[in-house]
Amino acid sequence: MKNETTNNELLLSVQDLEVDYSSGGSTVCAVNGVSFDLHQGESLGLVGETGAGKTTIAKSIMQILPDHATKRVAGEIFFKNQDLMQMKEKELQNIRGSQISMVFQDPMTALNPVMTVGEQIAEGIRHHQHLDKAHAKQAAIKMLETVGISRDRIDEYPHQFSGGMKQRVVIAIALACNPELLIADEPTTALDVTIQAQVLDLIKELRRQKGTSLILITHDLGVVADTCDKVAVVYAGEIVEIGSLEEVFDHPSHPYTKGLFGAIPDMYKDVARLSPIDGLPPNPTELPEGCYFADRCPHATEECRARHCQLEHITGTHYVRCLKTEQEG
Amino acid sequence: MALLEVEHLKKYFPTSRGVVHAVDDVSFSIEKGKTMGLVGESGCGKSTLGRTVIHLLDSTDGVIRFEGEDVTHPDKPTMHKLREQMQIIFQDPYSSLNPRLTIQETIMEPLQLSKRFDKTQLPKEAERLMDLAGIEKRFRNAYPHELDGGRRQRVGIARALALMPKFIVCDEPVSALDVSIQAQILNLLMDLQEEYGLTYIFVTHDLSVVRHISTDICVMYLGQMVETCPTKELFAHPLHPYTKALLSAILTVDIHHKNERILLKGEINSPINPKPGCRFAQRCPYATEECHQPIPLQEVTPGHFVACCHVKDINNL
Amino acid sequence: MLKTKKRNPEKVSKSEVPGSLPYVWKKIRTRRLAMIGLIFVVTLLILSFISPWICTYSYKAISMKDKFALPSWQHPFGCDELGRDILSRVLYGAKYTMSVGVFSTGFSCLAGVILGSVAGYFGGFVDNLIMRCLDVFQSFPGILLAITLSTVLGPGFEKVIIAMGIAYMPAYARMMRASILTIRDSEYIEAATAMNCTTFQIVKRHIIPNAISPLIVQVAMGIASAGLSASSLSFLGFGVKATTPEWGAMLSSARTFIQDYPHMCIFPGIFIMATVLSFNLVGDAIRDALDPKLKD
Repeated sequence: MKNETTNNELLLSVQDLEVDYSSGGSTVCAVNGVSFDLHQGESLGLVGETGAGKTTIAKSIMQILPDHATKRVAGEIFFKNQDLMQMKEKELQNIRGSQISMVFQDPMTALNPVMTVGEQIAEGIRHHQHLDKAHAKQAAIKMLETVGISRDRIDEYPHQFSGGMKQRVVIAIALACNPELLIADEPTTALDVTIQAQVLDLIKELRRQKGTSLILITHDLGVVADTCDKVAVVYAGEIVEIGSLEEVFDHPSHPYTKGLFGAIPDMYKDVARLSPIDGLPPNPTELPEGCYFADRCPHATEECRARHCQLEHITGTHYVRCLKTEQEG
Repeated sequence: MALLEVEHLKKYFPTSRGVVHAVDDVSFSIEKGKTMGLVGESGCGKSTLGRTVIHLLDSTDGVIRFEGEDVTHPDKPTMHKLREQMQIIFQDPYSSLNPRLTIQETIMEPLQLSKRFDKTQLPKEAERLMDLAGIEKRFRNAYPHELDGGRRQRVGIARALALMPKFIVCDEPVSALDVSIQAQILNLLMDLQEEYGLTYIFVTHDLSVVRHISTDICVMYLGQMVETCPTKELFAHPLHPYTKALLSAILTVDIHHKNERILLKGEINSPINPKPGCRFAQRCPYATEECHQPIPLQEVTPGHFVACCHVKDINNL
Repeated sequence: MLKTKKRNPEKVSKSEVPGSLPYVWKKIRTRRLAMIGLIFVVTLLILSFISPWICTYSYKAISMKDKFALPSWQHPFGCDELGRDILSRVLYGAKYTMSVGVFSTGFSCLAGVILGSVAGYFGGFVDNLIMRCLDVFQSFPGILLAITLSTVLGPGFEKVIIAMGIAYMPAYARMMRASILTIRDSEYIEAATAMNCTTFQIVKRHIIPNAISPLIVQVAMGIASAGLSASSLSFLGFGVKATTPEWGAMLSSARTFIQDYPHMCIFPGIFIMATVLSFNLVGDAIRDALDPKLKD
């Protein structure tokens, strides 16, 4: 899949990623053939429901899948033309934190309660940039101020911060080494709306300053609309629709994407009843033969249930995995 | 006539660090068949208010009237009757069901306790409730851990409906659910309301949900009510600075309709031993010395109540 | 993270509810070591009760000519200083050691559950009163408290049980209180209150069944340590009457002859060890079965 609109260098390329977990004797197919490209400076939103495999994709890129439960990983993940899947743990450690870093959903558990926030920010800087203690602390202070926390709080402990402040600290840690790629896994889900607005603005501002690329994982289409310029809709471990923000939000083409938009109460229109998507996502231990969405899809035919189709190009950078589009196109 | 009236309701919790003013001098009333949306951020006391109204928590001060009767301090038989008429649906569909009871047992429990049905009728009535809440019959003997979040929430709803209440507090019933499931539950709640003339208090932090389901809205901040009016009015003309900031922070999926965001400085402070006056003053861009005086809710335009001493200047009224 | 969802809920039986007793049993059956332990304990218990009919020699028959007899075909475990057959005594005594373990654990568990539930559910002053009293008990080392109590109560089978039961009760009460505290704030308890459940019904139907599972582990482990403590008590001379073939008491009297006739110590010793080990293996399996993190 080629991205025609940006001329920037290719930063990350995920090809046919597949991840299986073993769970209680059965195999959970968490990610089933995910491919996407991310160019320098782009921000991609991965949208999907609980269990769609969004977090697994992120953990695969970081190469931090849990050893004991992961049964099979296949595919290629190229970061600046190096395959992360083939790398040794030692090499990965140099990339993690300095070139790719991750922000987790829950700021309450992401920080070490017995270290001051300054130490936690400085830790990564010392490790990756080989600075001495004093210089690292200076860098940590600068970072703390970048995320909008005053420098006198550098020696405080996480419990002295509120939820939104903690998430700022987590972001400061993630961005401390100027990574080229930031993966944010539901960074604002645990926060209140007004705090969410602050944190998203912070992420956007930092991206503008530093040119960091972003993969934002969320279930909230509103967050994507606010922060990202590319969108991938994930369903049952595969991308069902991918394209630029305008392409997907103005012309949602997969029935699932359309369904998601119909299920959200609109702020500007009044409807008597929402139109929910019937049923539930398929059981990841026994995925159907054909389209994974067929059971919930209002347009599904026999053919949909029989054949699993590929992502098809519609316009520009817009791709959809649906038999109907395939035939019309 | 209003089904429920609350006047100057207060709920304080003594803690080792001081008294938490979780709900501080809140008054409102709900007409029969309407839905009152209680909106606010975490820690603003909206869930505490919901629980105090239905007597899961004792109020510290104030008056609660249900169908015109003062039920602030009910005696045992009154409480018994009251509980059958006021029910609650919880946020977390995982912790709100007893993991050791089957779905049928969970739904039958209130029926058994009410003693309105004899043993042979019980399973039939439970089946009717399951139908009503849209739970497939095959889940009758399943345990909660086998159900997904949406179905569990339906069980919670069926259990709340079992006693045929007139009034239900919905405490963030869709916050823990995925959007596609969220819509199913919201529709179910609205259908039930139409069919049985139910009255809801809908506690939530999600303004787009509350706009969809409520007829009236109360906005709370740190235990105080800052603004209340019909839903349409609130979204068209928010008057309190906090409401304005809250509305501007909503992220819409409409990418061509970006609203200007009012970024609030700082974060919510703690409701422990608060100073008198407007609690939002610390973060308010319009705050002055005057704001440290206690400020009651005032009717600014007909039916639109706001607690802000600068409301007229801010909105050029 | 993805979770597997079970299909066909019609077919679901009780044994699939994590934490329920049938579920625990299903899990234990898959653990070989735990099954060996369980079979050992059960066999020993059965043998102990039928020993008067299957053993050639009575446990109390004195035969001075067999004094200190070494293990032989006639007396596989040898004889003691009064010529009593050690095999018969070990088998017969198994029921003492084990029933002291079972009954004293049962006693302390029951008392602990009641006190812990009351303290945890009602909180406040009641909680304070109960827990401070238990603190007093817990400030003595368990075995020392048991010794003190059995000195006061005097020797005897049922008195050992009472002494040990009291000594080990605070641990159960504490555990019960802790798990009740977490369950008490669950939303399903609030839901039960909202539907007019009485306090008694809430405790019986909603709290105890959910609070009990961590206790099952403690009980399985507790039987082993209580059995061991019972033997220690008898060894020190505070337990059952000296003539009873309790394993600890047997060890105690054999102690004097350990240099010349070690077989008198070895066999009761091995049985104490094997029994404690068996109970621990079963306890381990139960703990793993109840630990949701180890489910897969």
